[in-house]
Amino acid sequence: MVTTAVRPGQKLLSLDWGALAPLRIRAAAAAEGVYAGAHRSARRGSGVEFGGQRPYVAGDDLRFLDRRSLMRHDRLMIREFETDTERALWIAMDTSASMGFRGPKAPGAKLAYAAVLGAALCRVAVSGQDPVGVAWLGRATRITTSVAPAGFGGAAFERIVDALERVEAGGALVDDLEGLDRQLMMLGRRARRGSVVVLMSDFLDVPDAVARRIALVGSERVLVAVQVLDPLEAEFGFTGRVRLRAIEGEGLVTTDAERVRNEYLARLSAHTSEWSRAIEGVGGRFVRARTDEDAVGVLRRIVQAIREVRR
Amino acid sequence: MNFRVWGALGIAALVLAPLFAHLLRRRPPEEQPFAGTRLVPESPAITARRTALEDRSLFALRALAVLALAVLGATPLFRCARLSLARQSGASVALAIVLDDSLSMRAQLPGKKVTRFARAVEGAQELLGTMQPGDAVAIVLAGRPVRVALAATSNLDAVRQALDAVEPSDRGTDIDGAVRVASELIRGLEHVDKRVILLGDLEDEAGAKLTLADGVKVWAPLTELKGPLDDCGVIHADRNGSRITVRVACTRAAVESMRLFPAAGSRGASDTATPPAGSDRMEARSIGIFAGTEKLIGGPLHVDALGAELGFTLPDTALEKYASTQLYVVLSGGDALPEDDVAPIVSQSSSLHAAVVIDPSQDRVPTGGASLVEQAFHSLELGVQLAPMPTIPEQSEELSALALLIVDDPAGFTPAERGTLSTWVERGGVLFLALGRHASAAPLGSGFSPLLPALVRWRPSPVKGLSRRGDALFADAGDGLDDLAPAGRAVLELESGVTDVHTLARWEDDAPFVVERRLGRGVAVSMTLPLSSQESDFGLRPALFSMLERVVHEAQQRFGTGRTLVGAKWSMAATGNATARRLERGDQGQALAIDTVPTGREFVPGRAGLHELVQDGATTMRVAELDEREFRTVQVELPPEANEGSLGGTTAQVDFSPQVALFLLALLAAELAVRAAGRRLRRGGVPVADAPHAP
Repeated sequence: MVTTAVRPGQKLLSLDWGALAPLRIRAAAAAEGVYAGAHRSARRGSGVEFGGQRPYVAGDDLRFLDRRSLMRHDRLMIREFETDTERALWIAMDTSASMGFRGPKAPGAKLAYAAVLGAALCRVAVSGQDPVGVAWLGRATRITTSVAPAGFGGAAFERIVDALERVEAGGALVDDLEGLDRQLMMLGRRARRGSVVVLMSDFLDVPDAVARRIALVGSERVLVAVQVLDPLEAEFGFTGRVRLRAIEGEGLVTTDAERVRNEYLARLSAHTSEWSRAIEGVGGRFVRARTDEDAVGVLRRIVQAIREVRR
Repeated sequence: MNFRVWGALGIAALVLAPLFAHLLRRRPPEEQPFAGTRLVPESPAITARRTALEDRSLFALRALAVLALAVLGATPLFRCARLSLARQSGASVALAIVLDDSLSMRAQLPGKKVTRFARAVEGAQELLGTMQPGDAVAIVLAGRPVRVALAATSNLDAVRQALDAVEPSDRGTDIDGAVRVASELIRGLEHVDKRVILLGDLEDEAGAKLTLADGVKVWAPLTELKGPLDDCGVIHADRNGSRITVRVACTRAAVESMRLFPAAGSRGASDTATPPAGSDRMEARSIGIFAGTEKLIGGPLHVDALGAELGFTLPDTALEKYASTQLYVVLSGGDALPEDDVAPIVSQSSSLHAAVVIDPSQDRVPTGGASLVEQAFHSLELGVQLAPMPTIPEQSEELSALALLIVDDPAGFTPAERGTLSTWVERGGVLFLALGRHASAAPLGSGFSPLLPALVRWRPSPVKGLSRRGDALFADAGDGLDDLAPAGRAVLELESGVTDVHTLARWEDDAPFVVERRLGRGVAVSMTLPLSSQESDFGLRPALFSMLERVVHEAQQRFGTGRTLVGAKWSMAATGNATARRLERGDQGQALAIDTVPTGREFVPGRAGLHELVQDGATTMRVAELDEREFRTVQVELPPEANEGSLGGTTAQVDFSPQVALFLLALLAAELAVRAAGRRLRRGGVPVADAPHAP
């Protein structure tokens, strides 16, 4: 169990869902707008290769409960099977403090928007009989496990939505790189070869060292990185003399907004391009999104990106 | 404004507080969380931006709010002396505005650059502003003689025009007469509320209790016009050869002032008086004779010299040098009215000359001495040089020096005499005939036509006295005229077709007592009793003085050269070109208006001084002199209700508190709106630091 430390003086805040609540309905509505039959799923069942066991978690289908293990070791274990092409969808969600930011023009916090996208993707995947799972990058105090097991069907979807609804933003990725490594390693272990990993973050306060670790996740997997930015971050809509404090880290800048706007946008573009190159370097795709964008359009771009990587 | 008002206005200085607060605040902007901070380059602070006002609209609103608060604390801020009329149950009123246009009203109000007269006119206009449809207004001018500037009318535009046309004058004051006329003007109106508004300094010579018609109230709202006047004026100055006599009058306040600051030097200005050496008292009054700007002679004016004629003798050199120059007498030292400190010097030969033709045997006074007429003229002090004349001259040139001719009990006039007299009258002479028993015994060929186109007979009088109905000739002097104990009376049988003989007074049986006929510029006045006390008691009644004053007044109006009081009419021919102008020292003056009246044209000098009258190319110089009574005025006795607040007010406060309070509320609402708008704008651009969605 990995947790991300909270910086002193920085408390976790409940996520500002704003106009993005309720999550189930928003996600269902977004998913309806996306073509769900992107691929045929190889349903686990007869003729599939045994893929190992994992501890039982609430909501798992009892049909896959390993009775032998229960009787022999008195442990609840779930038997997993592996098809030739693993089509599981993993949502890796950055829950650092910066993802809890909501600007004045945004309908909700970045993490809330990412949750809508993630839940909608899960719904699409579940409707295609694909297993879905979610992993957290950063601290999520109400989430007991950093990586939830992938599951099938509506139960898995409900479990993920429950987890997303309870998520909180806090901490800084840079403060606990070891914990982040563990989270990524756990994700790599769970998301097997061929899995689709959709990583959602603002990629603003993610240290460069993390970039390499994330790139490793993309090897032999379908990696789609979705950068979720608030409109204020995308446009730098400040006016006059401003004093900006970094949400993660110790940065503090006093500047004239109008004078530095273009330079900021140029730096943001360069920074995003670096991430894009890093992701695409491991065969993945980088998708940009703003929280004031229609989620359906972003979902379609993500699905399209997944298709492109699979080809 | 009292201390509270000043204190409240002092709060207005706090308007700078927001500015100072901003300048003192000079702190860095508030921190705002931002994920991309490490991508934001830092820029140096600009001092100008930090000192500039961040939100001008808010600053302006708050400054205005502070000002409004200050004004709110200071209100009622303004007090104005606007006259306002109180109404009884909103009923319409009838006003008779008595506007004092006398000399004393030319003085400036203390501490203000407005004359009393201007303030009085302003007060009248303020009253007009409170008039409502149905109100009636009349305007009476209290300068002597009293005049009706506008009869009662409900046409307020006409009232405004009449007020605009009123001008200050150098006249004397007759408040009582003006109030009497004013109350008569509105007495007959149907308004329940009738008021006489006194707009003046409320001083006249009599100072008596005002005479008001029944149901008419009097109101004197402008108390600031009252007050003592420190003024001396030159009443008249006459010259007879090298001898100059000057009469100076001073108000009581001026006399007191002169007693406090007596002029150094000799007692009174005399022919030997010259400015005393070493006299450096600026307050002292002095008097001087000037030819243009050159002072010929002069001396200090002593208080004891007032009320007497001051004598000066021109040096021989000046006599020759300024033989044809208009001389002026000038008072120096300064007072409330510098306009009356200068007067032209009039040659005494131009004073009014009158002659009386009386049969000494008939007009014998039992106690001896001068005749009744001569004694009356002496008593009246009309300034008329009266000379007896034994007979009527047969040449009109012999009458040319006369302005007035009084003929007592003539036995008709011969044709030559009639021709001489009619020519003289037509040229402006005034003939007063006192017809007696000799009139019926006229010699053959004698008569009175055209002076009196009537056959005159002497008959016993069937009545004892005169009728007082509609008697405008004798007015207050008519006491005792109802019993004149006449031994007889002249009966007039007017020639047929004569319509221009006007009856001025009648016997009790309506027979004419006094008639007049205007011929050319002159007038012939005929009375049907002789002046002799043996024929009637008329010569013993005050009416004789009134009669003589009238004919002298008529003569003064017509005589070519001479001196009259300001406000006296100067009659002019009905036809031909005529101009009038007032000559200032070294100034030709401007043309003045000449009024057309039914009997011809007349010019009424409103200002004292030398006037030039031009009629058909003939120029005459006339002098209007100040009314000495104007310097002896006292406060009139007002009825107690004259200052009642129920009639109106003069110190209404202008209280802007409700308006300022509303304005203040509007400012607060505007500030809230601006702040809300500003918050929305900031949300559109920058995040709010304490917003709940900020991590």
